[in-house]
Amino acid sequence: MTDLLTVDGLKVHFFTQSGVAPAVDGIDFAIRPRETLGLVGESGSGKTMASLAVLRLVPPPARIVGGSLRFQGRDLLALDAAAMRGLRGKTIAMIFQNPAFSLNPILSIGDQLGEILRWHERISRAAARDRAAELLRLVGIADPLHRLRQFPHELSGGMKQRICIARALLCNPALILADEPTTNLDVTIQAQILDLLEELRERLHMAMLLVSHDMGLVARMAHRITVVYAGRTCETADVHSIFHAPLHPYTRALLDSTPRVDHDYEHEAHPALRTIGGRIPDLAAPPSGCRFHPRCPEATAECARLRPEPMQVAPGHSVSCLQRGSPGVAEIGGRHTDVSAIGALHVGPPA
Amino acid sequence: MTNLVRVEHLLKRYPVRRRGILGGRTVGQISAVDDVSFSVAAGEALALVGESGCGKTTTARSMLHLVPATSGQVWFDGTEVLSVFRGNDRPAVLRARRALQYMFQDPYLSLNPRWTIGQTLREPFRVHRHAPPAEWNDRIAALLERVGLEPAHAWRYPHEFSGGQRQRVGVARALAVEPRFLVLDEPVSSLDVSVRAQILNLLVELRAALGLTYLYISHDLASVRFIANRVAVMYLGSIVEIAPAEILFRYPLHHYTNALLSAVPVPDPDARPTRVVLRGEPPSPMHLPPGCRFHTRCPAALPQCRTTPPALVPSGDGRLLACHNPR
Repeated sequence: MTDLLTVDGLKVHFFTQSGVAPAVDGIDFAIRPRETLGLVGESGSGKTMASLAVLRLVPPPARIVGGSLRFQGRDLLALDAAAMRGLRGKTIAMIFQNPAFSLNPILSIGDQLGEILRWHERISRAAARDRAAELLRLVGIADPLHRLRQFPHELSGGMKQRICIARALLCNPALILADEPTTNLDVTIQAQILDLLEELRERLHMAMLLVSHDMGLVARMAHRITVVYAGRTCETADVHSIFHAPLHPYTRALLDSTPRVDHDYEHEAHPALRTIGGRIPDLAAPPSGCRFHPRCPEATAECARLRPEPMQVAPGHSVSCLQRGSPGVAEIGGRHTDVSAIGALHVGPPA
Repeated sequence: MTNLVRVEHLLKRYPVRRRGILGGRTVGQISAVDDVSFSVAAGEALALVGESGCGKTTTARSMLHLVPATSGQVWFDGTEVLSVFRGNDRPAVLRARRALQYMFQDPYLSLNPRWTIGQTLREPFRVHRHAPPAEWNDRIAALLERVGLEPAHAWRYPHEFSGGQRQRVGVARALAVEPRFLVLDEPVSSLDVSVRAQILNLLVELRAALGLTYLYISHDLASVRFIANRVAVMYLGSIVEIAPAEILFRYPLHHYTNALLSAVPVPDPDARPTRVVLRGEPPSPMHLPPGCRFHTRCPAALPQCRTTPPALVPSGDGRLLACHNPR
């Protein structure tokens, strides 16, 4: 199957006064048509930046400085601003983490949904209202014509997230980017929203990039999973391999340190979760070699020196770990290696 | 096991006021905590779970008089502490404050940014004077080591620490007065997975080592399963079910507990438990439905659920349940 979106060696660096922070420094993933890819990582892993980079929306002082983004055979980094605008919200749509911040507080729901339709589809106000109402009904909102006249502050968090989902679906996108779509919601509302997303993705033949830190959530939603740590891809595999045969030490650690609601801790004399020592690295001065090596139980001297390259271990399963046989690349000149590329490839929004 | 803490008919109402020319008037009331009773045995960890707005934090704060309760009693080791906190007997207040400590949710807001960690940890000693000043520095160093930090960290400021380390400082501050009962209000919800596990392990280890009793407040049922012996489920200001953790997680009887448990995503792609997805959203606490508060969303509501609120009564297996038509 050909991939809908291929992200290869993506690099997003922050250009701050105190230096260059390579927040995303080699993230690879690919999304096939009609599948859900879970992009999993902790804070600072670069997962949100990677999803924003797909729409070329990384905020200054961050800029895309390397890698390639190919969508439906097109090089997204080579498109001009007008072509990119034609893509955003139409072919690739985004659902943001915080629905309260991603809706405009001074426009009615109908106005902000209609604006998108009238921009992309060039249709009349009345037609836009009808289409918006249809979408609200699709996401399970009763009395949509009334809701279209309301403002964001009049709606609950779950309702606002439904509106955001409806907004993302307005133009029948091929790909939805969902960045922690349920983090701020209560668990029973989260279940409603996840069911809705899954049902709509299936029914409307869309693909979805689901960005999350929650292993339980991606286990439920994703077909394949990419695990990222400190700006680099650790492991990509189908959901069963990730949960039943994880290879990267970080993937294993992430699973072991997650408490489980289906586990009997009462019968253990000394219940303890396996933990990852240390803390998430400071991305202004990331560790050399493999970025996980200071916290990795299996690290050797090689791991501190060589950057692991992704290696395919089985069809659809690739891992970047020297201890699993991945090839290592010596890093020359440390973190500033890629600065030469900045002039040639300035594709972010104007700084 | 003897009860260390007993909460009886705790009630917390907030007036809803509308502003007017002559200072406004009260137009309604919100019952954040509505006649809540439960007990915590010595040495156990009781979890209070529920969704946002269900009153779990307000319950805990009213218990320690961090917000004044409208009515009700809180018994601690034979003493009614709410009247102590309201009274003027300062030695008695300090005694109660030492015994019952509260650890806050947000590690970024609960530490004074202009104080070093040492100054923050010295404050409980300065207030309670439970150790001679000559010992304070040694005690602070020992506390920091107890929670997995280094004595030298006492010279640093909160901004120099990560979220997990700040939460360790929060634990150290609560432990400084050698409490017997500790309220943990969402202590790990702002932390990353790998750091969260470290703090959860620390809390479990400290409870065993120091013989502490916990009230653990959380919406994260996986961490509750890890830490708690008993679980109380709240919905719109009332406890709907309270049971030993094993029983509650295996056989939830209340339909809300069942929906809550089945909504938690399990980190296993093959786990496909029969999920109950609740319709709608919780009603506004200003306009509570009559009868059982859950009847508007309950899949098994009977006609009587609309009129008669169910009482929280024993159901035989160490469980208390408030439901007319349990599973």
